Amino acid sequence: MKKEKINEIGNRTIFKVPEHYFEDFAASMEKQIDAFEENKTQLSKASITANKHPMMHLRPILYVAAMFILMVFSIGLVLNYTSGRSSELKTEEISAEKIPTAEDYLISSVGTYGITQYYVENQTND
Amino acid sequence: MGKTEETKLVEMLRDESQRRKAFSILVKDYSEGLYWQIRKMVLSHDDANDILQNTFLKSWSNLNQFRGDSKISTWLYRIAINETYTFLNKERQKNMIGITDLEDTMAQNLQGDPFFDGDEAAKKLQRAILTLPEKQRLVFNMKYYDDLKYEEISEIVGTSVGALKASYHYAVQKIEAFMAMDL
Repeated sequence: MKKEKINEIGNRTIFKVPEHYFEDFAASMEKQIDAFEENKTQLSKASITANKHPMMHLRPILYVAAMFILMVFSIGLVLNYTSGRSSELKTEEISAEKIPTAEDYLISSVGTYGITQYYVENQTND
Repeated sequence: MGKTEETKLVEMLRDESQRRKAFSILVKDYSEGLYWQIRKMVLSHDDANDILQNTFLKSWSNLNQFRGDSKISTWLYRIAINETYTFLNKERQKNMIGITDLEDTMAQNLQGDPFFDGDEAAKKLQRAILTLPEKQRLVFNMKYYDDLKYEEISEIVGTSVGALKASYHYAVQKIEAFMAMDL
């Protein structure tokens, strides 16, 4: 292709449109605006009907109540867990079964071998 | 549309009882200008038609936001440009999985387009224009095809006149370099 300057090509419109396009477009736009408005009216009617339901007015109160119940439940759960843990620890500390007796102490310090030896020696002396 | 006519139309658009009638006038008066601006960006008639419909639907639903700071035509052109950019971005995302660029696809589609009436040189010019970044392409189209004043383009695209002049100058250089290549 030979080198061409853009001014030589010219700026005439090189695109076409279907016949009567702009007249038809205006008519089609009228219909679309009608449909758009009708849709808008229906949507607003639906929204009004939904808002008219008696429960819809109570919705904010119900939300707050649900939040409050959830909060109380959570706090209760946390408190219950922490107090449970501390009482468990206390029970462990003061449990009588866990306190070593004098007998336990003697057994653990002397050992089974020492006690047997003691009895054997006593028997021999007798 | 003259200034007095535009003021009257804006007043009608603000009046709820006359709004619908005024909008019909708006569609009749501006659809052609907006269409060509969109068409030169997307090249395909069907895509331009969809974007134009979205432009008017968006302007109808946002009519309350038109404060009258700018001309109604400027406001409409801005919406049309935004809709065009949105369309091109979506197409680019769809095209990401393919191996060809969106611009290559658009240029290829011109080959069999029944609504394209250009010769080989015009086709090559379109391919050259497609190599420009989107905003530069828009500025080039507004100046080269529509011969709009830089002040008018500045109002629509929100860029200074100086920057627009520089952008157009570089666009012409790039296009001429592309046209000089034997492809």
